[in-house]
Amino acid sequence: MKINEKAVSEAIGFILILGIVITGIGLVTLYGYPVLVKEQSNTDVRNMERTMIVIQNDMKSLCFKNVPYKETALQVSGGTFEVINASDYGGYINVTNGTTLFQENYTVGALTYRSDQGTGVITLENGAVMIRQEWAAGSAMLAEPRWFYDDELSERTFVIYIMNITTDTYMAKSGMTTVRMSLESSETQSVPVPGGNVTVKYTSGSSGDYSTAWENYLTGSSVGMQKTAPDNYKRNDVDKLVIKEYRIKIHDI
Amino acid sequence: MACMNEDGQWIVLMGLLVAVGLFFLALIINQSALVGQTTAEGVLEFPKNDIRDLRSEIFDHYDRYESLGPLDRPNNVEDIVRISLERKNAVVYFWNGTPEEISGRTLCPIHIHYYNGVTKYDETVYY
Repeated sequence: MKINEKAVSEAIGFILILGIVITGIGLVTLYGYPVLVKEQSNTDVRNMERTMIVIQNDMKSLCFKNVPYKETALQVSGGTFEVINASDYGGYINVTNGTTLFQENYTVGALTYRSDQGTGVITLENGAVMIRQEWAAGSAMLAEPRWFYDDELSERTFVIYIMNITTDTYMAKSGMTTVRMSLESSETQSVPVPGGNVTVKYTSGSSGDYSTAWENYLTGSSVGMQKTAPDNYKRNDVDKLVIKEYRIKIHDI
Repeated sequence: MACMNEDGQWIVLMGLLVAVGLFFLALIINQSALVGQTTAEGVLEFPKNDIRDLRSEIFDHYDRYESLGPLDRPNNVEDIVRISLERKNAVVYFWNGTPEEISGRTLCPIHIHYYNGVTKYDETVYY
């Protein structure tokens, strides 16, 4: 192979390569860095989704498996994790058996994560993990609570679980934290339903509006309620209504 | 420039292959963690011991069935149903059919229903 190398200049080659390198760095700084930051906040929210499901499982052990105390270490990054006492929360679930004799409000409380850079808000409320976007309508349920309806017996039963979160003070944290919680008390109510209709009304609390997530859950196949008005749901063909209320105390985060 | 020795280019190529291989390996490891988590949750959620306890309690009830008075029989059932709901969070019911002749022995069919919102368990056992 014989190539004429008269025009090959080291200086021009160097300038060309340097130019390409500087253009590359410029492009990465302009477009790549914002994408990286956004991806980081997305990852934080996604990690927190999993963490919330871990806490939900701990709460399930407290409520359903007779474990008295639970401690979980977790990493909260890119946002703040807070505990809201049931009495300050404002959110509650109203349950009636269709008569005036039984009509009760159950306050719930919440654990909420708010992202700093992104708009994601994740809330653990009444045993359900839900996500929504700040400044936008709508929400979705990531992990469901365990309400159920059993119609295979002559006495058709509807079981509602209420998980009430209490704390002594306001608490919020970011970084490494340990959630310490215990089951304070539990109470089972068995209510006869003379008319066969159970009505549930959901009112959202201070961590945001999660009515869409609750609507999709309550009208879904596992509970099978019907929507009668905004945030009002009705279940037909119920003979016995069982409400189990658990009071969970968060000692520290 | 034209006379450079290019014999070592395979090293660069191998480096690229190893990088691609590592990428896919990382993807698979990531997926396996997820699969492990859901499987473990599935196993934890299944109330094997609850159902076992319930069955043994029901068989105890039918062992004593003949000696129980007419009032004790429904009361025992009611107790088991209430305790299951209170402690195990499960809607439970059981009832017996008429005894049948099965391979030379008289056995009574017992129907058991168990539902805790996650697991539904129905069984007819000849006891």
